[in-house]
Amino acid sequence: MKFLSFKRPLVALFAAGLLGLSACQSLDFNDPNAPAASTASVQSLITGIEGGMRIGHTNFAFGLSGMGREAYYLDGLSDPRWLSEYIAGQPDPSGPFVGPFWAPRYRVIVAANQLITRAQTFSAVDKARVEGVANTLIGHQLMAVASTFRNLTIQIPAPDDPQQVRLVAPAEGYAEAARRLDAGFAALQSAGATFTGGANGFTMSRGFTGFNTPATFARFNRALRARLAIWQGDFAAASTALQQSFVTADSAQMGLGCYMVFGSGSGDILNGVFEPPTAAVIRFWAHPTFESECENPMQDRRFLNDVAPARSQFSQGGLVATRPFAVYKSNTDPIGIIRNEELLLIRAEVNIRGTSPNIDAARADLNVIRRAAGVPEYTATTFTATNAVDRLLYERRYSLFGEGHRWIDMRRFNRTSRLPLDRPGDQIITGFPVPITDGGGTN
Amino acid sequence: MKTWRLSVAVAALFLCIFGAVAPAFAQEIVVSGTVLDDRGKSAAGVAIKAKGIQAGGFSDSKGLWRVRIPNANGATLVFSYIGFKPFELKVTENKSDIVVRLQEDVLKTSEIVVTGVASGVKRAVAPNSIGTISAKELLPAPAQTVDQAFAGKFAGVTIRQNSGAPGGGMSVNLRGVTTITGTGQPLYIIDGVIMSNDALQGGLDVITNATGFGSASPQGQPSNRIADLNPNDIEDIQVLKGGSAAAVYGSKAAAGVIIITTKKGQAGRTKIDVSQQIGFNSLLRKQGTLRYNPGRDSANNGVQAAFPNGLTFDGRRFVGSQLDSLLALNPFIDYENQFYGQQGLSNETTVSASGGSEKTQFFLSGTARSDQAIMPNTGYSRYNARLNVTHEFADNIKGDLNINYTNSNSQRGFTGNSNQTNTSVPYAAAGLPSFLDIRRRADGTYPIYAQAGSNPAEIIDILRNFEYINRVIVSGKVDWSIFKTDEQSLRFVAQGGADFFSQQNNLTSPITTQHERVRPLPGRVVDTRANSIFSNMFLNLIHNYTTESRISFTTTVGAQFENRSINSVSVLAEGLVAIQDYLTNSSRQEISQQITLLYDRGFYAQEEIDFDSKIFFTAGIRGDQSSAFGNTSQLYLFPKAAGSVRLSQFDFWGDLKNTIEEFKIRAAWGQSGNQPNPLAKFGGLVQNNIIGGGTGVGLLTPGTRGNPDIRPERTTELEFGIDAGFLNGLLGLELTYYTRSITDLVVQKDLPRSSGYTNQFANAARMSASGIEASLNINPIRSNDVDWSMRFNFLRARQLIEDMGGVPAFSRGGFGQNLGTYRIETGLPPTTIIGRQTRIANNVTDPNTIVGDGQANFNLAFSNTLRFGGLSFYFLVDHQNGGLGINLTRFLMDLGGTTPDGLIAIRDRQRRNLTSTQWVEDASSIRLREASLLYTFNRDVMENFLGGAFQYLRVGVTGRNLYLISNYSGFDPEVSNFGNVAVGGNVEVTPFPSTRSVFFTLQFGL
Repeated sequence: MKFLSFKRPLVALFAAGLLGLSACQSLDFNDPNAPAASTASVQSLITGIEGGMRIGHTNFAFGLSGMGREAYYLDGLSDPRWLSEYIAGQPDPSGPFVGPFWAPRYRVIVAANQLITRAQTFSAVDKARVEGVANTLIGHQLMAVASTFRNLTIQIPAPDDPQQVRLVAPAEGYAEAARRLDAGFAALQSAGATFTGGANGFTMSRGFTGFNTPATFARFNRALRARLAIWQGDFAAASTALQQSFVTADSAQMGLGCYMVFGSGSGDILNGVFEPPTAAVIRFWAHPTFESECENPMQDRRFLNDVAPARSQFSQGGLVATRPFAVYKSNTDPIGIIRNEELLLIRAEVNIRGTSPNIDAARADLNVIRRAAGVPEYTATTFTATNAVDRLLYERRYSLFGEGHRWIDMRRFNRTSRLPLDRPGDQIITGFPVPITDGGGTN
Repeated sequence: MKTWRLSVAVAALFLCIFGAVAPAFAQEIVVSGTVLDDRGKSAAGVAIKAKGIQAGGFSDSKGLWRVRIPNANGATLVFSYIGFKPFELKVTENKSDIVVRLQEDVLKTSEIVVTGVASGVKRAVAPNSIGTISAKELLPAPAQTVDQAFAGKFAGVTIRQNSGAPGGGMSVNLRGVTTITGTGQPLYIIDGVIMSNDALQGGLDVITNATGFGSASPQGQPSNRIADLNPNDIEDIQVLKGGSAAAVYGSKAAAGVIIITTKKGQAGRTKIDVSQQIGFNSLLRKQGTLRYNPGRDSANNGVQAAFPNGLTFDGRRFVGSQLDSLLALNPFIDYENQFYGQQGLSNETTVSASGGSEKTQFFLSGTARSDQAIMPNTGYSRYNARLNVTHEFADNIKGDLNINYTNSNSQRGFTGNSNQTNTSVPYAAAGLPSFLDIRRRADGTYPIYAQAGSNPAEIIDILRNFEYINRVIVSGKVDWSIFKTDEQSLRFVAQGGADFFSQQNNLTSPITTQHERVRPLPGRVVDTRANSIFSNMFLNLIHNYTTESRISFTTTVGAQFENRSINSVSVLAEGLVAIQDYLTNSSRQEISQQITLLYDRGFYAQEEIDFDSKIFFTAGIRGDQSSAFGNTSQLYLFPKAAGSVRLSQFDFWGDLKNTIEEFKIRAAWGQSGNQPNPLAKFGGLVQNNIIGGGTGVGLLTPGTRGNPDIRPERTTELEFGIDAGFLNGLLGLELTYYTRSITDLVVQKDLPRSSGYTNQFANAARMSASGIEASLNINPIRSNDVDWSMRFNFLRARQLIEDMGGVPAFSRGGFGQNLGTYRIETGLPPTTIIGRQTRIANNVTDPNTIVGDGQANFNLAFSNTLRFGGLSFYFLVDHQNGGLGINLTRFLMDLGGTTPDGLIAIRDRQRRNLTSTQWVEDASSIRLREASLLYTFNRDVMENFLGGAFQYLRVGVTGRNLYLISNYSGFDPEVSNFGNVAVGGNVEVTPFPSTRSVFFTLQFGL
């Protein structure tokens, strides 16, 4: 055996250098892109939850407006399912036109629930603040699911196996939403004077201006409870909730309420329902009947403000329109969560449909709204016990245009057959099928 | 391969020198002569080595050689030359004028193929089917990117071009689908460096609104970065097709390993090679354009029948007979010619120099390539520079250094899926009837084409999609022969390096355009900057022991360390004040950042036993730790074992050797892995800010829930095969059957959305796969003047999901059941395409109707080379048999009423109301991939031309992607809207059409 000469130092140095280049890294590190929930501030989580309520709202507006024949999103060339699912009435439970009504709502619910769990170690007041806000928002999100789907789940969080997801009827969803709203309302009573301050203080966004303390936020909570109660047909509960809400018979206060706010900052969301009215191509159009059935098209501010001036007729897929949807004036315009105008309508409905009807009180509330809209007020002859429901639905249609209420109202009053069908074969969806991912059926 | 041969050569060289400077050996003999190839031509650079003695040399350019043997008893000289069988010559006394004739190694039995990280064996005994290819075979016609040149060259390898956009975007697949969520792309190792083949999103899908900004399932049609490698620098490629062959590469090898060696210099005179290619790119195939006629008759494609509700064009509405007058203005515009009809000039210049001294050799090359693409204002250019140096530091220490710099620029255009304003040329064009003139007017404005949302002519003229790459790849190798005796040797080989690239994408969509003007904040710029650093190191100790009975044992132990870090920052600026490509002066900016970190360690040991080149056996094991695994301290083991018996070398084969000269049976078993997404174990919060509302940063649960238990997928492969050679190289056959079981298969399992999450990566499923691959070489004529050879490569690959581990069947890829998607379900191939069928008659809807399989029945490539004197003719035809594609381009054209087969056919497809199934098409094709006609001037002519300045001179015509035969109605059945996905690729949404390239070639050597 003969050893050849070698240059040990050279090789050793080289090898050591290369080893140093790559070998000394630890294999363990934190998520390089995002923080963990346990280390994030309560403020950032509250903001995430509040901001999460906005996710999917574009579909909500386009979809529910179409299903209630209030407005059409005519972008069928970009995706024909805008028309086939919402207008032709064939929602695909596996597709992206049903999902946005479900997934973002549960995402907010689960995130809020996780925050409640974390808050169990907080001081009593801090805990009550978190529970008050989180339960209120959970209640709101559950209402949104229960009012749009044929079934839903109230297990939070749901199990990983879709077969194990327990589906319940909307009525049970409403009951759970009510329980959450009530729990939130109760917690807010012991949440101190402010949300801010303390170890885990926070503030809601500008969308909650005037409702940003436990006491005022509780009024928002009760407003949601009132809306839920009339959906449940529980007019007594609606009446009680209204009294603790922020309802006011002031025709200058139609917009009083809580809003989803939008912005152009980084990571913020824009109001996707807004369309520049002067654009060459408009995609979101009021349904022709919104104009043709408007009784005071020259005066009604609700009509005049909610649609842009008529354009030359636009058609797609056999649907025609002339009036662009114009409820929002910019892409950062807020979108109402619940407004005083709706509370007045709810109070009117309680007075019309409750156990002890009071047509005069209902008329008075509706007249506050009509005054604000600039249209003639109802008289004892134009608004009677006989036509009260028709008038109520008319006012709801024009006051809450584009907010998704029309479709829900027509279902509540069993009047979906009165909605116009513009093309043969079109049908009105009476509730979305549960997504297949969540144990829904095939259709 | 060249590396190996070179190592042998250099080793022989220094042994020779060693011998020369050691005067201790008083007695010696000297032999000399010429070495010729089998056509009687002198062979230059043949390595000559004496067995068991330190002596040897090389033949010179005239084939002359001379060897001093420091042993009075003589020795056995081995002559080795690439592409030829080694020749043994026993010499016992001084002799000159020895003529050695080398036999061409038609069956490549003596080629060295890879069996381990730092070891190889002769192909003759290799236990696996390993694809190899040399530079000449790789590039009969210039290729824009190297992966383009793989097609049809190896049995078991299939290539899919995701988009025809200039600058690349290819998917390379070895033996079918091996994973669902992991990378289906092989690991690329270039001179010992793991080269990134990532396809980093640039932001095209942000401008087209195909997906949102920072989407988790992007549709940006990115180019994959193997595109940066200069195909002209490649000496040879070896393909380990996965499982058993690649086991020693561990948890990243299940999709196969492609080992690329670049060219090295050889001692001797400095050679300069120049290659100049000039050619044209043109549209490979048209889809066709519907021509409308006046009137209301559908059968006659009446314009009024096509648009019963009228059309809005340039602010005016046309209904009924007004459409006829509109049609009369411009009866027919061939928009395919307008948009994709550019005869793009293509130019490639490569200059390389190689040479060196006995101790130091170099290879230096530079390539400049530019391509104008078929769409105006799109194209690609690439500049490569490479320096490879080999130096002998000492008698027993050799080092290699390889430095590569690449700069590439592409303008990729706006194609593919789109939403909202349809800002994609072919997407908007799908709804563009041939009589609407949307072209630029003399005053520089464009007609408003409201029907589609954006004006494709305007997109081509005004929008820009740039990609800039700067890349440096440095690799080094130290080969230290610690000791060496007649029987034993011990080597330490360290090999590694780093691959760094920066990618910049700049996309501009100016405020003046139709589609921007409708946006709330008109005018957008997306600027993406990504830095990627991969570094890795292989450390090997290799011991070899050869017994007197010619049994050789090779033992390798080693370790591998690898780090990867990718940091990509993308900024979207909206609401611009001017036509600009910068981010400042915009009313809104959004940032998205994605950091990927991956740290790996691997340890391996391998034993190879070669019984006199008759029987070969190897076994090895690899252990891997990775930051991608939930448990970073666990070592995941990947064993392998393989063997071969060369029956034709045994005595009993006898006279059979005259007809079947080579016959080997082989079997290999092994495991390799596929890593989960390196971030799958995390589940950090995602941003959901309320900046406008004043509360700032908001954090929400992510869509994908982290899985702290995630492990590598494990592919267990068993491969059998025979290699046979008949009739003195007339026929060579390689036949392989493989079967695989892929366990711990990671699925992105759908979670009920009511869990608050969308999905989670989990090791849940099990897949089986099997396949047959075959390659057949035929050399019917081999003479001095005429050479004729043919090659067939065949693959049939099949996969089946065996078990879902409790995860419910789910859909993946595509755009939901209504438009066709893939189904991952027990008992079905993972490439199963399902659709939703609704029948109006009984209103029964089946959302999961199986339409068929995206996987081809088989792939067959045929190449033919015919040389007659200096003239050679070559072509390669590639055939895909079966396999379905989801053609959503046609769906969109049907929707726009523009499909060329006419209104009746469109209405018929739509009326059937089988919502997705009629847009799923057979993607079978026959494609003329490559062809060349080259003339090499006779050597005698060259010697008299310009005083013999040229070593060789070659001229000719070459072409790539020349012709396509397919019933598929799109531009090309080879397409993938979602890029390099393992499953869910065959979805077409208005891609960049495929290109045909023809080049005139001039090559010479100085």
